[in-house]
Amino acid sequence: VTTPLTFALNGVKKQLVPHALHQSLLDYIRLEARLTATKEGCNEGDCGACTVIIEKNGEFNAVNACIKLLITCDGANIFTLEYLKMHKLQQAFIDHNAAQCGFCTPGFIMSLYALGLNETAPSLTRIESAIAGNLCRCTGYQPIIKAAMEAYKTPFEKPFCHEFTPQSLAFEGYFAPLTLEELSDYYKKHPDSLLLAGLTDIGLWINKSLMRPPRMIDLSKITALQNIVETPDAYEIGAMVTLSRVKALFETLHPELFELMRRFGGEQVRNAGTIGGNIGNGSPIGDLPPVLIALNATLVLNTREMSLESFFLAYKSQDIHPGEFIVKVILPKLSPSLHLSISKISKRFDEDISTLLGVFAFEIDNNHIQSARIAFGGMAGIPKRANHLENALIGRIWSETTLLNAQNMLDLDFTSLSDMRASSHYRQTVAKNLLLRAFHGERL
Amino acid sequence: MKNLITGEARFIDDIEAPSGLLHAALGFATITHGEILSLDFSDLTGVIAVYTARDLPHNDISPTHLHDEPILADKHILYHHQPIFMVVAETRDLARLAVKQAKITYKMQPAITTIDEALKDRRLVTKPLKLSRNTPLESRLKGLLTIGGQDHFYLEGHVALAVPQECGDMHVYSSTQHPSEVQHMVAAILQQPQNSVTVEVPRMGGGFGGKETQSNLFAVLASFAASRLQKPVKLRPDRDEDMAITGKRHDFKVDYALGFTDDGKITDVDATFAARCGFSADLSGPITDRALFHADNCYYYPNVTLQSLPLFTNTVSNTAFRGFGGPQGMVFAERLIEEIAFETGLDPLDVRYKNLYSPAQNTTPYHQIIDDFSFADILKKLEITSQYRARKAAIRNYNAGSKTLKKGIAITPVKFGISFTATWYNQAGALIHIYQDGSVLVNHGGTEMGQGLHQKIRQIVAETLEIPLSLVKISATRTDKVPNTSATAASSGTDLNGMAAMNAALILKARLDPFTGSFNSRVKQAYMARISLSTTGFYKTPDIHWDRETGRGHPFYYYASGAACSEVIIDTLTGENKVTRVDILHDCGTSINEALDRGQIEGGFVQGQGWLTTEELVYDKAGVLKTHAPSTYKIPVASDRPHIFNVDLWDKPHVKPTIKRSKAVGEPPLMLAISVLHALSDAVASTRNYELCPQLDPPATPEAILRTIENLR
Repeated sequence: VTTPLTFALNGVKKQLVPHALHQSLLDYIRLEARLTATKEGCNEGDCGACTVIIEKNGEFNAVNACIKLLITCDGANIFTLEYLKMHKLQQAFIDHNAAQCGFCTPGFIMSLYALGLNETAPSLTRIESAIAGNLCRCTGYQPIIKAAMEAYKTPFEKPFCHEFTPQSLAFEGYFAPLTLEELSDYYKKHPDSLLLAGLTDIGLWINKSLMRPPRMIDLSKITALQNIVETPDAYEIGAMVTLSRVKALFETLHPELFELMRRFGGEQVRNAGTIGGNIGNGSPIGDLPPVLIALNATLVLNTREMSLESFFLAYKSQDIHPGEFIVKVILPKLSPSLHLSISKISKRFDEDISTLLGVFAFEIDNNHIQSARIAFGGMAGIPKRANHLENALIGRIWSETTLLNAQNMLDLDFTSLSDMRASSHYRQTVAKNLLLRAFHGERL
Repeated sequence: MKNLITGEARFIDDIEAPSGLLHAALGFATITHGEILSLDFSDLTGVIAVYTARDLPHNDISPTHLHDEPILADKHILYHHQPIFMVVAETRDLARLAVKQAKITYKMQPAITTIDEALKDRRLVTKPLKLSRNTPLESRLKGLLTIGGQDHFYLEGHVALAVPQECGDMHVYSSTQHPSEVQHMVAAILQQPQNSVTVEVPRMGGGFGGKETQSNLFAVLASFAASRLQKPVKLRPDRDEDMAITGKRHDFKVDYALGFTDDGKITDVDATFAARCGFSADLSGPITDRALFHADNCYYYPNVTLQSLPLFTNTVSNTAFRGFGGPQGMVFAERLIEEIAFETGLDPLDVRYKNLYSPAQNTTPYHQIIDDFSFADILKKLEITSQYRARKAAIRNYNAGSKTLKKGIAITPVKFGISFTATWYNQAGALIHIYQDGSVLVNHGGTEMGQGLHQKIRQIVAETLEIPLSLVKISATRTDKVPNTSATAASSGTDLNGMAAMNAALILKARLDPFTGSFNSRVKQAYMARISLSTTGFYKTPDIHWDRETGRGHPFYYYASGAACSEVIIDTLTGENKVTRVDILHDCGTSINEALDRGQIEGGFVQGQGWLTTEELVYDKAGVLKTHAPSTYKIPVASDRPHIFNVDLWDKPHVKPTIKRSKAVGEPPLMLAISVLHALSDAVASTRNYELCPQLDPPATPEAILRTIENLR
């Protein structure tokens, strides 16, 4: 007998067995629960029309239902627009004429409702960040923001959430363990399993490439992978820590780190995506690896550990074997003398994928560059350090002249590609220019 | 609007599935140009039917009857992702999976995908247009301007749901701006009279021109399958498919020669507008025409020749998009102004003033006489309210002291011709019923896509009947209620349908006027007196005519106008940029609904800003669109909107007797965003001490800005 999935939809408990492992939460909501306020706009987690709220530990997370698998929703409190019965946020949308065609509106309201549940009187920048993952093609956004500001004048009342006892879950071809031991055992027996973290990439494989993974292991219930532990000289960040939680940690560490995380995906993607997923999927344009490499992070697998830098071997090829999985990342604490500059370059500031991402971590002492760790994303098949450039800088005087003289070393470090995001020429030029930005610090 | 906010509003994909509903999915060409050698569907599992061109009794959805647009490719593949077959299955998932199991072999042929290649090939999809007045002789400079295209990115993708009715009739729910055309196309594929097909449009989740002709494919195929199988069929492509197979705003390459006097007055303009039209004409004829009609923007060209080149390419067939070629024409006009400003050292705004149409210089290149010069007053007022001169001086100061960050500012006007240039389209109908309880049901030929048309028409009817708004309801647009409608396009929705609805309301008002008492009481008395409480209304735009052969006429009933002042900041190390402040003054005549009009202005502006900055359609060398999803195609998000955004309405009654003395507002504001392009250009020019015209071509992506800065060095 299969244990059914248990969750609550708009406060009502549901128990069911998904009719397919790859069934999305969105299809369940629209086609089975027949709640059609939640829309499908892009089916890839980039437009926010399908935004719903999932409560976890008292936090109300806006997520994209289109790239969330229903099967991963065990123990979730899910809220859709239908839950709201003319909430003051909805009234504010009417008062400010914040809907035109209305197709994006449910998603915007859910994103903004989540923000109002989690934070009191959020700033304008915070509101923009909370809806960076919601596209509107009609209004130009101004009325939506005005409506939100109006609604946030008074705090939001939190909805009732059910308590669920964590249970491991198993269906044919799907296993959601609770512990690392269960995970290890199962993964050893079934090394062909696809590991599910935040689904912000795998969701696209399923929706766009129509991939039907024969066997999946859902890591989301393993609490041991979700911890952030501060040690005397490092932060140990569990593989399943979401990007939103990484953002919260980074906010306490350095403004450059915070700014990067603020621009990482949209809120829904940050709420779902994980640090382990961002590393494990091996993308050359993931935003975290260059930063973590420059900050000399260590990657801990269940079997061994290594410098994160050495994890990336070649395009989409990582030093990880079947049965191995990422447990955590150890991020050394930043030294007070660290000069850190992080630049993400993209066509659009918010919710875009990096054209290139440059991270410059210098130790400056007595006006000399004592150490330089420089890493880039988007410049090669893997996130990679600029060794030639680093060597040309170490020991030199910290001056614009030094940097100008060393700039061209980047051509030895990287031969970037042209693609739909930019030409190779642009990437090479900007990579060099970012070195100057690291010195001047001036940016928009 | 309440139903949109609560989520009760039903878009087509939200409609309760009719029993027995089947789902269709399309299979696409994986080559850009060539021939199909073989089709093999033997591996398809879980499907109910597979259809190819051979199954279609009629394989043509050319909206202009040029017979150049097949529904499904028969033998020839003309562009990458051209639909070849359709699969029908019990679920959408099964249909999509089955598509992947088809095996198709091809013979590839060389493809023409770029404007440059097409300029060598010179094959046209439709007849070009030439406008001229006097012959331009003198040219002091020649230039080349490339203008990027744009995907509509309506949030609701295309969708059609066809439900068979008795006796072979078909009811089609279509997300379309042009239900009548869909009706005609569906009737043609079913080989039935038009009276057997009803097309219903509850609402659209955005259209922007992308659902003027592009809906036909989906509605026709869903209807065909529904008819064959006698089951309801829904066809909703995935977003990536929608973007790969539907037309976009045309990209252009404009080759120009310009003559002007030392004091900055334009004398001669000679320009050729080459447009990438794609594999078929679609609406490229009227779109490239409109580009020429707006190649003057607000400026008088004494000696002028403008020619269009609607070029064939092996790419999707480009189509209508808010502005319909007009924006590209205006980008050109403003480039001329900028060129002259740099050549003469005058402020671009002063060059604009010198060249504005005036009562003494009032003839357009198409020989329509300009008689409304409100753009001049608007420009002057905006110059003052935006403090353009003072801010420009402050920006010059800032730039002198800032090494990497540079600011820019520009003010540009808009004059946009209102009327379909296909003159017969300028007609509309409405149907009004008054029920015995005094409630009123209005149906009209326009479609609601978020622009607020239904709300404006409710207001018009309520005001005309002198009753509260709450008594008036607008029902979904349906071809069986109001026939022979025109597309809701060309900003004309309210002008045409509002007038038709008012005319119908006036007829009913006249029937009720003989009675006394409350509205309810008069309705009851009229009913008892056996007076019809239902009528139609009709309207056609007066005073317009156009002779394309001679390039002369009066194609526009009037012009809508406005002006915008934009300020930006760029990073000269990366080309990154931000729009920091925008001031707009826009003419809506007497606004019927100020909130809705502001919505159109702000939304149109931001959409235009996206077109000119972050939205870049990238095709690879094989002509495959690489930016076919929001992950790669970047429309503006909330933080991209101008953070200081002052929008004012030029609230003066229209001199022409338009509906409630208003002016159309759907498209014109998009072109206000040209001020962003010129502000960026101004910032770029600072890197070369304002000595050279940057010739910044849109879209001004960070890369384009950095490249332009490099070019100036």
